[in-house]
Amino acid sequence: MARTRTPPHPPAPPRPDHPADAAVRRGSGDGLPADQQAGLAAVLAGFRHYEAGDDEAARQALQAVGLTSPFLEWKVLLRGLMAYAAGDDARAVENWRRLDPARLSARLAAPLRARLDPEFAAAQPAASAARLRARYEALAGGDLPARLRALQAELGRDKRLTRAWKLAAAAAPLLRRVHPDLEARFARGMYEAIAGQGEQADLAKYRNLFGPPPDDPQFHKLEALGYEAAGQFDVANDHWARYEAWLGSSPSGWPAGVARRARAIILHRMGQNAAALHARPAAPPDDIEAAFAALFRAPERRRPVPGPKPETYFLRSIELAPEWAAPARELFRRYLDQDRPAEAERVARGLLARKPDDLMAIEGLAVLVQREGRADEALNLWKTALATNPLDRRLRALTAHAYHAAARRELAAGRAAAAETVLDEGKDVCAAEFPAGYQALRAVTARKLGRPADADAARDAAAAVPGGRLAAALFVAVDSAMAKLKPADKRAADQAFAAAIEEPPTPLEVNLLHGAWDSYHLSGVSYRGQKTQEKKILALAEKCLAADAPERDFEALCLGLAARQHWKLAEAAAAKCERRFPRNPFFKVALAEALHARNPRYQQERRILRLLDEAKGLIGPGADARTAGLTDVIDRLRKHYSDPADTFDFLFGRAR
Amino acid sequence: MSDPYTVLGLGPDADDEAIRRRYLELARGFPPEHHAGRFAAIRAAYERVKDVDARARYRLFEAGREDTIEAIIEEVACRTPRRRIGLKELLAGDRPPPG
Repeated sequence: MARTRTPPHPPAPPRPDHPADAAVRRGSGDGLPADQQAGLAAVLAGFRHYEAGDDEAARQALQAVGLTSPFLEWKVLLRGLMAYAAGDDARAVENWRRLDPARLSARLAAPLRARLDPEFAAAQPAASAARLRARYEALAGGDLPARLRALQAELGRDKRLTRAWKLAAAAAPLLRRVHPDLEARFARGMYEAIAGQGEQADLAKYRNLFGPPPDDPQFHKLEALGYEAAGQFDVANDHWARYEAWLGSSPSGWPAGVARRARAIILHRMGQNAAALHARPAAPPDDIEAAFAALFRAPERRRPVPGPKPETYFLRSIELAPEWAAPARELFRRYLDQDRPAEAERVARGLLARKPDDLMAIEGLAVLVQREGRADEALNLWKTALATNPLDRRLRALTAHAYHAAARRELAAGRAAAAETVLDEGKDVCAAEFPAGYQALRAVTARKLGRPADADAARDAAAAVPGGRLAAALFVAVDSAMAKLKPADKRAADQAFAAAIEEPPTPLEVNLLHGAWDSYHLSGVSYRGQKTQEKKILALAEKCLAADAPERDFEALCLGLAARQHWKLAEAAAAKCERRFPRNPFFKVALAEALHARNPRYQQERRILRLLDEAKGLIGPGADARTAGLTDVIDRLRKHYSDPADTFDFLFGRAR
Repeated sequence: MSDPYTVLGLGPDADDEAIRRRYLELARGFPPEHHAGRFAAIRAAYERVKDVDARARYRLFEAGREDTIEAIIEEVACRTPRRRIGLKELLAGDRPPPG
């Protein structure tokens, strides 16, 4: 087995040479004992033969060096060098691993060994590794790598490229002569360097050295990316427009389809840039310097001209790549945000005509028509969406919701039989997703159709859903009014709901009740007394906090309140639960989140940070997946209180 | 080798069908269980050019990103034939100790 040594560091140089090493360095045996003269002569002869290319003679010469000779180290070094020259890296490394790190031979082999022996290279500190690499390049590669290395040292730093261009100009002719095929890659490397740290003057220098880059001959793409990174979207768009025009001129080397899609991508990007420009607030300082300048009433920076509207770019992008969904989706969202539903619908329908399975378009359109009260159309769209992925829990819930909305619409229009047909069709998905709401609707429909026994059975089934007592009572009361049941039936339903909310609620019941109330709210359903009812329903959130219920139900309640942005109630609920369950980190995080949402930054900062620290301590290292998920929320909240930029956001009133 | 077209052995005008066919051919030739590294490179190359959108994005924003000066130095070093490094040359890089 070979003796192996992998020193953690390269040998330290100041130690005096071993007498044998000193003799080799001098090239003479002065002062060496007589019995060692033959060893030195053999090593020097071995090197002469090796340098002359005669490895066989070198091996013959080295035979005179025995196992106990102090020149054995040099024999091993030279055998490694011969293997290296022959391309037998494994044998070279095997020899060099046997060298004594305290001897000169190990130091001389180190640059080559670091190149071939990953274990050895990894053991070197960074400074030594760099020194060995530079030495290797000087030994093995001649001048070119050293020149390139000097150039590389100038790149990736926060400084101008002036010296880098001088070094590039020195390296380029050599590279062109020795490795002409690498010139294009070298040019691209310098192009990227300009993108990272360049300035205008560098473009001319690049052109002088390499000629125009084939994919960006006027540097418009490079400039567009640079201005985008600096947040100057108006100037970036000027350059993108010119680059897009160049791509439109059928440049050589660009397949037509790829060029067309690239233009569409650029126009989409320009649309996003334009959206950012149009959305800029009145006079927000962009950075800390600007903030101070604003404080001292320095002259304002010229506001950029917004240019064409984002819609213009998105429409052109769609025109160029109609099969690509992204610009149409973006345009759809934009029209929705601008409250232009007709245009949004036209865009979504256009996209669906080209891509009938585009789930985002189907969902977006479904939400849009649902908001407009077109329940039947919405239901059809949700059914189409669910058909793309029947197991998707979210889609199942949304489809069930659409079935209920469609059934209610039929009931409200006096078509109880049609409502029942809708409910029959959606039975599987509705009964599984919203059992209380489904059974309540069946109860009202049956009563409207004159089948009181069926109605009572369905109402009881709704109330029997675990935690569904209050939600079922609300559904029956509201749907009875919407279905215009007989006054006696409506009254009975109202009284049943009033009686239900008088009884002490559990957190699960309240959470489901809030969900039931939300389902009307989200469908745009309104009825008499809705506002008063909302107050009573929300007030139950505090009433249920004393209930004897599992911790998980309280967690769900807090989550529900936060999701519906009832922050005042969420704060009260989380505060009570935090006191009641002090070992549960969830409530500390929920309270911190509610405090964060409700209060200006400076008022509750200490309390929030304390809560987050305590929660993190409770989660500990061995947390399960559920509590570990809280860590993300903690980190997100913490970020608000550690980022100095947030202070400026607060000072200048930017939205959180 | 980072250029996806070079990895796949295709020209830049190859279409979806040609790229997919070539990818499957190479994947059969270099299955992941026997050629993990090579297969990963083939797969990564395929992902970068598999459809017109990927090809356009690659061309616009990614092509050349890996052509750093460091990568070129590596390439030059790999290509440079092994020299016989003489004793004097070796010793020239090592400062003799004092005394």
